[in-house]
Order: sequence, then structure tokens, then C-alpha cells
Amino acid sequence: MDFNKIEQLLERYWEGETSLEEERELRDFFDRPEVPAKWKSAQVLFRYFNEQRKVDLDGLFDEKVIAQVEDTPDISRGKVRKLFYDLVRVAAVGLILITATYFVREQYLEQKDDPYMVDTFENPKEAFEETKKALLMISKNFNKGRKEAKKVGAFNDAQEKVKSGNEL
Amino acid sequence: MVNMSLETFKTQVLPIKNKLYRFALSMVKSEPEAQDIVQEVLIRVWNRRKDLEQLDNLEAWCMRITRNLSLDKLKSKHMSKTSGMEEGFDVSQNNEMTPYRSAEMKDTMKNITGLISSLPEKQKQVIHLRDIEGYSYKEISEVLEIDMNQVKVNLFRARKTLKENLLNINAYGLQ
Repeated sequence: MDFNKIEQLLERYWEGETSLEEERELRDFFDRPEVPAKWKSAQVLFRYFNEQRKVDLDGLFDEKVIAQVEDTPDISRGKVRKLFYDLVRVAAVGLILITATYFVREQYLEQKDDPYMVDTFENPKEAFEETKKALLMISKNFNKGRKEAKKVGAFNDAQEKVKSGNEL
Repeated sequence: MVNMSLETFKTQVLPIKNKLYRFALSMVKSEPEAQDIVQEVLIRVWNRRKDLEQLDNLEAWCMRITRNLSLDKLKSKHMSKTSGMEEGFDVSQNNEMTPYRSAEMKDTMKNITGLISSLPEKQKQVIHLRDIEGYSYKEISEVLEIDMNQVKVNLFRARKTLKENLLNINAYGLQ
């Protein structure tokens, strides 16, 4: 090993001018058991770095994290669920509209068949009979009214007589 | 990375865990807490995997979140206990993460741990990312959200302090 090169590298290391590659060279060099006395303190530092690099988490850690990750609700599955709920909502509104339409239509059809709710009869003969019935009813009632009106007329006659009697 | 599946998560995200763990540990100095932080970061990646698809450097993003969570944790710890610098220092020294052959070496390792812990937070982070994780200046600037010159300045200062103090340790410690 070229000690001069190490000397140079170390000098540049303390100045913060070494590249990552050069720093790796230094680490490898100081990993040997024996180094010249003047570099003992530097060796301690580089060994410390090497030892620190070996600090690891234990194997149980992975299991713990993966179990937790698998436990967290999946975002994409949440989206599918949201879409499903939206569809159900739309379907529910549709169902209500269809049901409402059905009932309104039922009622409309029922009313259409009721003869007193619509003004014409399908059968002309029936219509004539019905009209005759109605006219007869009117004339009957009209006659009744005239009879009553006659009574009022008699009262008028009597009044006339009283008036002419007074003039005499 | 179109629509990250569990498989992608296992092969591309999970392997970063040790880097995240070491980074978190370098700040919070408690193994269970660092582990919690890494777990939280990974769960966040999973929950936001749709947004993270476009990201060109997922690792830097993860490291950034690790740093933010670690600093938050430190802050809340300081709020609740108002523990002094010395206490944090002690914790790091008792933390035997570096089993070593000779007791002498072990002692020196502890000194190094203490020395690095005593660096200003930003310098400590830069040293960690550069000398332990081997990140480029650009990657470090992305993780720490500072410009590249700041990265270089912090690295230079950190190494300078380390060099000076290592000589002191050596003077009355190792030899």
C-alpha cells in the first residue's frame, strides 16, 4: 500500500475535499489491524464509521411493518367502494321515480274510465239516453218552479185587488 | 414505479430501513424510539404511495422525514424533561453499539461516540450522512434541505473539530 497516497488522501479528507470514492479507499485502508502509529487516531475514527454502518434493525421489524401495512385500508379499494355507493344512490333515485310514475299512471287510467269525470260517452245511444234523462230532470224541476211562481202570482192578484179596493 | 404494490414496497422501500434507523438513532439515541420513528416513516410512505410515485429520490424523502420526526421527538423530550446536554451525552456513552475486541479500543470508541455527539446538530448529521452512509453532497443537501455549500461548510467544520479532538484523545488516551 502506498503510504504517501494515504497521507495525501487523509490530508484532503480533513479539509473536506475528498470524493466518495477516495473516502471509501481510506475506509478500506484503515480496516486493517496494524497501521503506522501516526494514523492510529484516524484509524479509530474510520473504524467507528465502519462499526456504525453495521448497526441494523432486527428481523422481526419487517414482519411488524408489513403486518401494519397490510392492516391499513387500501386507498384503491376505498375508491371502488365509493363508486359502488354512488351507483346504489343513483339506482335508489331511479327506483323512486319509476314507482312514482307507476302510481300516477294508474290513477290517471282509473280516472279516464270514470264516465262522470270525462264528458263524452263512447256509445251515442247511451249518450242520447243520458242527455234525455238530464233534460227531463231539468224540465221537471222547471215545472215545479213554475207552480211555485204561480202561487206568487196569486199573491200579486190579491194585492191588486186590495189596491183597487182602496182607490174606491 | 407505477402504483406501488406491496411487492414494490418490500423490495424498494423496506431495504432503506437500516439507513433510516441509524440516522434516527444518531439523533434520538434510543433504540426503541428510533425503531418507532422508522416504522412511522415506512407507514407514511405506504399511505402516500400515490403521491410518491413521481418522486425521483424516495430515499432522500424518507431520510428527510426521519430527520424531522427525530428532531420533533428530541424537542418534545426536552420539553418534558428539560434534560441537559450532559444527560444526552451519558446516554450515548452507555449505548454499547460497538462491541470491540480490546477494552482499550472500546474506550476510544466511546470517546469517539461522545465526540461526535458533542458536535452541533447539523454537523453531526452531515458527518453521519457522508462518512457512515456515503451520501453525495447533493443527496445530503436534499435530506437536510440546505444548499450544497452549506453541506461542504458543515462537513469541513465537523472534520476539523474531529481531527483536533482525536489528537487530544490520542495524547492521553490510547498511547
